[in-house]
Amino acid sequence: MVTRFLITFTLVSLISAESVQISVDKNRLESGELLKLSIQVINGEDFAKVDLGPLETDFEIVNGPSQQNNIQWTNGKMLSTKTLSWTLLPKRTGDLIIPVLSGSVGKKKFKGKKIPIKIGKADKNDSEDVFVHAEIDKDNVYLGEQVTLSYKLYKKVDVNIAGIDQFQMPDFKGFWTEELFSPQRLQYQSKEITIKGVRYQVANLGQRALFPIASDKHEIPPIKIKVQVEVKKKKRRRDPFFDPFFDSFLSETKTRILSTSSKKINIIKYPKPRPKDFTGAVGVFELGAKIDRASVKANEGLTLSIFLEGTGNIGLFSLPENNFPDHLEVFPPTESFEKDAFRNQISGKQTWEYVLIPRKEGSLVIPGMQMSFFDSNKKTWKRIQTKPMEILVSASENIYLEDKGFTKKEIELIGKDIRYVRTGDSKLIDKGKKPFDIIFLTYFISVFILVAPVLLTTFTGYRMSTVNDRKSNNALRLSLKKLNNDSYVDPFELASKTLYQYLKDKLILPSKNLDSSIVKNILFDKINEDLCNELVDLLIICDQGIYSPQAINKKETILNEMAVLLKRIEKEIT
Amino acid sequence: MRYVLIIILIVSSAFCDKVDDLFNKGNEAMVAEDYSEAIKIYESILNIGYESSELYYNLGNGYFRLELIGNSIWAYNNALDMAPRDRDIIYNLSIVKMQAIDRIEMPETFIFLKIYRAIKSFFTIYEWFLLGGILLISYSLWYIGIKHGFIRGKVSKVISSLLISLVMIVHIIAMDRYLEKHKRKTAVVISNGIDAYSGPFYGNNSLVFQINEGSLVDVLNEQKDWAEVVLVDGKKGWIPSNTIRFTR
Repeated sequence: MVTRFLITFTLVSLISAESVQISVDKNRLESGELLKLSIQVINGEDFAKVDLGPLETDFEIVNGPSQQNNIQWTNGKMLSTKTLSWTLLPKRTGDLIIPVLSGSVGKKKFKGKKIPIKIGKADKNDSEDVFVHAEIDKDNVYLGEQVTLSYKLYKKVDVNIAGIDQFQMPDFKGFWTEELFSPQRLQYQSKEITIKGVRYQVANLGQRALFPIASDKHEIPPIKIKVQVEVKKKKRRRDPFFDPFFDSFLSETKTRILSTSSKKINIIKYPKPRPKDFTGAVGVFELGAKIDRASVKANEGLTLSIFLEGTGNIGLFSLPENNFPDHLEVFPPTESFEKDAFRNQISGKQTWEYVLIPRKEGSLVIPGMQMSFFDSNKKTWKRIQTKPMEILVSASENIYLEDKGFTKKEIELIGKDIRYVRTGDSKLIDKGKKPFDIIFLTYFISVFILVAPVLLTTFTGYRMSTVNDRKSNNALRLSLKKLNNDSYVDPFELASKTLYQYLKDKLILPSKNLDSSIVKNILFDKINEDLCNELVDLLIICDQGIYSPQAINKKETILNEMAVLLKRIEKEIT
Repeated sequence: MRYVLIIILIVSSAFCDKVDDLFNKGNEAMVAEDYSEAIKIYESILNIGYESSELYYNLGNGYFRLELIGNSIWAYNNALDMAPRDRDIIYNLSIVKMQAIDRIEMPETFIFLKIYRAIKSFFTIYEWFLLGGILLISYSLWYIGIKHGFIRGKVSKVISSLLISLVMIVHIIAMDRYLEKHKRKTAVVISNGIDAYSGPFYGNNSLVFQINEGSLVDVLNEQKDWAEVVLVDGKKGWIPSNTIRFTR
C-alpha cells in the first residue's frame, strides 16, 4: 500500500569528495507508523553531529541513533559511508515537515533542507485491530487502599501479532507498587471477549498492585508499546499456483505503536474521627502476640513476637508505640516480612521481634498491643489488639545494675524522699560579718606565750628558770647522791665520772671528754688556786686508779674526799 | 558615743529578731506545703543579707518540692559550704543530684588528690583557720614547756616537731580553701536545655555542647549577659548568665 519512497538531498559538498545526505525512508505514512531518518556522511572522516531539537515538536524519537559504517570499492575507488539513523513517530496527522537540520562533520558545518512528510489518518478498522488498554479496578480510593492495574493487549481473532517489544512498566509516581503478574511471553487468555460484536483475544501484559501514598498527584502515566502486526499481501494475481496455502509466506509485518492514555486516581479522605493509633494501615488485618516463655529470671532475655497478618498495604506502616513497664528493658524490634499476591490482592505476614529484659523480680504484665486500621471493604475504622501477657520474673543470681546507668548506691536512693525541713534555731548570721576575729586572737595568744618569759624578765626582772638553770642548781645534789651509791666496783672511776658530770651540769658545758688538764683550765679563774690544785691531784689519782701508789690507802676514802671537794667547789662557784 | 553604740546594738538585735521571725514564717509555709511562699520568704532573708546553713537547707527542700532541681542543688551546695559535715544536707543533695539530667563524670584523679579534697572539704575555711590557731597555741605552750623544763624527755621533742608540722599543714590547707573560694567563681546551672556557644553571642558561633539544670560549673569570664563556663570534665563554652546562679 505504501510505496517505498526515497528522497535524497545531496548537499553541496564542502569539499569535492565529502558530502552529507539527509534522508527519510518514506514521506507518506499512516498515523501510528514509524519513519526512519538517516544522516549519511560520504567519504567523511567522522559521523555527523546533529542537533535534533527542532524535530521534537512534531516527532517523537522512538529509537536511535544507530551507527553504520560502510566501505565500498568500485573501479579502484574507495567510497566510505558513515550513517546515523533514528526511528521517528509522528505526533499528529496532516502535513508535517522535517525542519532544517544543521550540524557538523569534524570541523566542517552543514545545513540540510526541509523534508515534507504526509501523515494520513489510519484506517479505522486498522486501529481497532490491535490495541492496548490500561485497566484499573477502581478510581476513587483511600490513601493506602489497593488499586489493581492491568495492561491488556486486545487483538482481533484473525489478526496475527508477529512480535512485541519488551514491555516496560512505567514509574508510578505517588504510588507504592507491588508486582502481581509479569508474563514471560505473550500469552492469550483462552476466553475471547466480544466488544461491539467483534471478537477479541486478550493477553495480559502485566499487572501491578498500586497503593497510593501521600503525594500531590496520583496519576497512572501513559505507556507506548511497539508491536509487529502481520499484514497479508494483497494478491495481485489470481494464480492457481499461489494457493491460499502459501499465504503465510506471502504476508509482511507492519510495526505499530500502541498507546494508552493517562488515568487519574481520586483520593478520598478518611472518615472522621480518625483513631489515634492509626499508623496508615488500610485493608483487613489481624494482630497476634507471643512470648517464648512465661517465666524468666531477672536480667535474662525473652522474646516477644508480634504478628500482623492480613490483606492490604502491609509493610507500608509501622506498629504504634508500645508502653512497656518501667522495669523492662526493651531493645528495638527486628522486622521480618512475608508477602504474596493471592487473587490480585497483596497479603502477607509481618513479624516484629522484641528482646525484653526484665530488671526486677516479681510479676510483670506486658500490656496488650493495639492498633487501628481502615477497612477498605466496609469503609469503617477497626481496632485490633492483643491480650496482655503476664511474665513471672524470679530473682537473678547476677546483678547488672551498671546497665541502668545507676550505681548501687543510687539504686538504694531511688524512691526515697529528701529529709525534712529544719524548724529549729535559725542560726542566721550577717553575710558581711566575717568571724575571723577569734582566729586572730589565737595567733595573738600564741605569740604572747612565746614572748612571755622575755617580757617577764624585762619588766619584772624575774627570770624564769630554764632547763639548764635547773640542771645547774641540782648538780651537787645529784653528784652526792651518785657518790653514795656503793654498788660501783671501781671507786676511783666513780669519783672522776661524778666530778666530770657535776662540772658539765654546773657550768653547762657541751658534752665532751674532760680530763684533769682541761678541768684545770676551766676552773682556773673560777675557784682559788689551792682548791684547784687539790682537785687536779685527786683527779690524777683517780685516773691512775688502782695502779696508783696510794691506791690502797685512798680506796676507802676517795669517795668521801671527792664529796667534800665538790661541796667546796660548789661554794666557790656560786 | 556610748549611746550611739547602745542604739546600734538594739537596732541590730531587733533586726535579728525580725529575720528570725521571717525564718519561722518561712518554716510555717513549708510545713503548710506552700512552697513558693516559703521560697519567697527565704530568698527575702538572703536579700536582707543574712544566711545560715539551715536557711539554705530549707530553701533547697522548697525548690526540690517545686521540682526546680537547679536552684535546689544551688541551695544545698551553699548549705554544705557552711556546714560541710551535716548528714541531712549530704543526703538531700545526693537525692536531688539524681534528678538532674546531666551527670557529668569527673575525670578519674589521683587517689591522694581525692583524699586531699575529701579532707579539705571536711571543715569550712573558718574552721580550718581556727584549728590552725588552736594548734599554734598548743605548739607555743609546748615549746615554752620544753624550754623551761616543765616538759622533759625525748618523746616531747618528737611531739613538738609534730605539732609545728601540723600547724603548717593546716594553714596550707586553710589558705588553699580560702584561695579556691575567692579566686574561683562557681555557679550552678538553673535552666534546662541551655546551648553553650564558642563565643558570647548567638549567631555564627558554633554550638559546643548542651547543658541542663543542676550542673556545677566554674565561671571564668563574664561579658554583658554571657558567662564563660567550664564543666568539671573540662568542656568550655559561653552561656547566658541568667541561666546560672553563683554559689556563695
